[in-house]
Amino acid sequence: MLLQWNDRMSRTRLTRGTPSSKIRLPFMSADARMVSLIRHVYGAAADETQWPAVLEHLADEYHGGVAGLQYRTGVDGQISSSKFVRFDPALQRAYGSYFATRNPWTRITQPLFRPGFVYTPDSMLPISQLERTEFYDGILRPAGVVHCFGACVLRRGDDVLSFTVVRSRAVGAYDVRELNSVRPILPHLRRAVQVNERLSGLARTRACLADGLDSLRQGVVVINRRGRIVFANQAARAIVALQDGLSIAVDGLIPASRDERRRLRALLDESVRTGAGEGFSAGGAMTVARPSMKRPFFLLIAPLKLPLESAGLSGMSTIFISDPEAQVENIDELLHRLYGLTAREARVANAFAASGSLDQTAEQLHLSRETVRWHIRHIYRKTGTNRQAALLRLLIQGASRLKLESLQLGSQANPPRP
Amino acid sequence: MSDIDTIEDIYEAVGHEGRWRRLNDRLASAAPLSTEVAWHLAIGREAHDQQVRVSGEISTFMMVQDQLTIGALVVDTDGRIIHANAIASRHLAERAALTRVGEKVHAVAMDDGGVLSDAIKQASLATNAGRNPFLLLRRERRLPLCVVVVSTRPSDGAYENRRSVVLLLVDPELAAPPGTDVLRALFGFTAREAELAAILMTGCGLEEGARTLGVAMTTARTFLAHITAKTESHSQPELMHRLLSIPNVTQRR
Repeated sequence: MLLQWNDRMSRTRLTRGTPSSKIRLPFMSADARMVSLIRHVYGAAADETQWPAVLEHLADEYHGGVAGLQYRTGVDGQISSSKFVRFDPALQRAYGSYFATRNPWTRITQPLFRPGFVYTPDSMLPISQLERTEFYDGILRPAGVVHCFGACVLRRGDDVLSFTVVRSRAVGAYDVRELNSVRPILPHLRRAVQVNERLSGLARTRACLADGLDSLRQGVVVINRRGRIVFANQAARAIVALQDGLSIAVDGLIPASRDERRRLRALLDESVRTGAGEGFSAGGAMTVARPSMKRPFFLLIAPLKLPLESAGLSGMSTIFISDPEAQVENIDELLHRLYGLTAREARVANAFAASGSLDQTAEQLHLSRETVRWHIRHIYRKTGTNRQAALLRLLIQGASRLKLESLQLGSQANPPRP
Repeated sequence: MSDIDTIEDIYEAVGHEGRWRRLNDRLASAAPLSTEVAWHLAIGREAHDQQVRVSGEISTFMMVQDQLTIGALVVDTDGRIIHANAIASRHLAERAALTRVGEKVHAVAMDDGGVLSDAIKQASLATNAGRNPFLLLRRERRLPLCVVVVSTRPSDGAYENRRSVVLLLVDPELAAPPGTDVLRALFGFTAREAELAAILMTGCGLEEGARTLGVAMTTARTFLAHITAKTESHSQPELMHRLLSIPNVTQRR
């Protein structure tokens, strides 16, 4: 029965993995079950959603009531991540939040864990003793399991990734033969986990970087050599959402007017040639008119010259977009933190950054021109600038390039002024 | 060589461009492959291609940050540097706010050391509800370097405790004025007008601009009047404001 099921599972993976028409039943010198197990384990290497299926398969193999992978960090054995199957969700929560660090098995075996180590704690902790622990009452008894083996998949300093299967009293304790059959699977589990870790680590880094671009106030659109949009940050999507002269379609970023479409295409073509090493243009700039008659959007196009190993990505370009009508955010708090401006000075700086004019600042804040000048002089000193133009540049192009709502300003003390 | 050894080699080679290519060459010459090896090779290729694709996207994003003159530094929770873009490398080499000690990133100012490492640790644990911690690193005689710590939640399937965190380094003093060709394209300036506008954008006054261009003050004033009219502004600060709303990007030539 088990064999049939394995074969069926293998076939499903086979059709997915190898497009070739020659599908034969897996056969190697090793046991067919082992072959199938190894396939399952590595199936999860490229696709982390396969882990539950892998664990189900392993649980079948070792007649487990509960099976899981746990990553424990440090000597106290806190679980940093885990995946279980056949484990009641409520019990699993209780285990993660409370019982994991009170697991008597782990306390005994964790210090002994080396890669390839497989152990059943029965001889060191008799069932009679185990039954007296709160771990037994809280987890094992309700889950209906009592016999376990643990195996070390990988170890990094005090951190251990272990594979555990627990089964019922009725099925019985693990014997040496069964434990020996676990050992050959461990290096495969380790490799699959490591490939998986690398992939998910990279995916996370990618997500962080995309998030970083999302926290910018200016629009960023990455275009591949065929003009298709590879990435558009939040600000770019917000500009498109204004429906004011710029739209996004399958084949790229589209200005409303035909002339502008042609101009953007020409700039992108030139940029793609440069990105691919065939041209010399450093990119270009254009404006996009808005039906609302507001000041036009500014577009800057620049080639992305990627390192050689990413040859497949050649010919990419970045389009940077800004909206001159966008309101300058209230950056009082940031100015206070960054330059140690007082609340009043920050208000003046903010209004000045928004309007670019001393008169308008005075009018807006109901202050005399002289008072505004007086504040501005203090702001010059604190920001290390000496004229309006330099101050404006600092205010508009400095940290305020970041969206304030994407930042969490902590309680860090004001830094000393430069 | 037995099938199981070959299968092990496949997964050891995943993600390592050279090893992966050599392995594929070896297997191509050793054809025909057994069903098992062929199956694992397909899975290995899937993992490898995925890794290459995501790595490419990471390089792309880091380079876009370079274009924006923003440093991007990828570190693990212990502060070990995993990737650094050109701007971040420059900040590290400058040793004004940040420096590399062994494989780790450190704040230069004594008091900031703990702040930075705490922020990295916190970011990797906490769920920031879409907000990223922001901190300032002091520099001698310069404005502090702004650091945004970006992290994401670990995905469900991963068994890993070393999460990566991205440090975005925004230098309030580092903003390159756009090239004169950009200014001409956006505002219809003449070559000389664009030159003057670029000089003004760096924070210089008109007199300095006239001197740099080698023209008389009266000529510079005429240029300024044209620039002001072409940007539809009414005063010099307002003009600056218009000019500064151009996307902040460095263009390498």
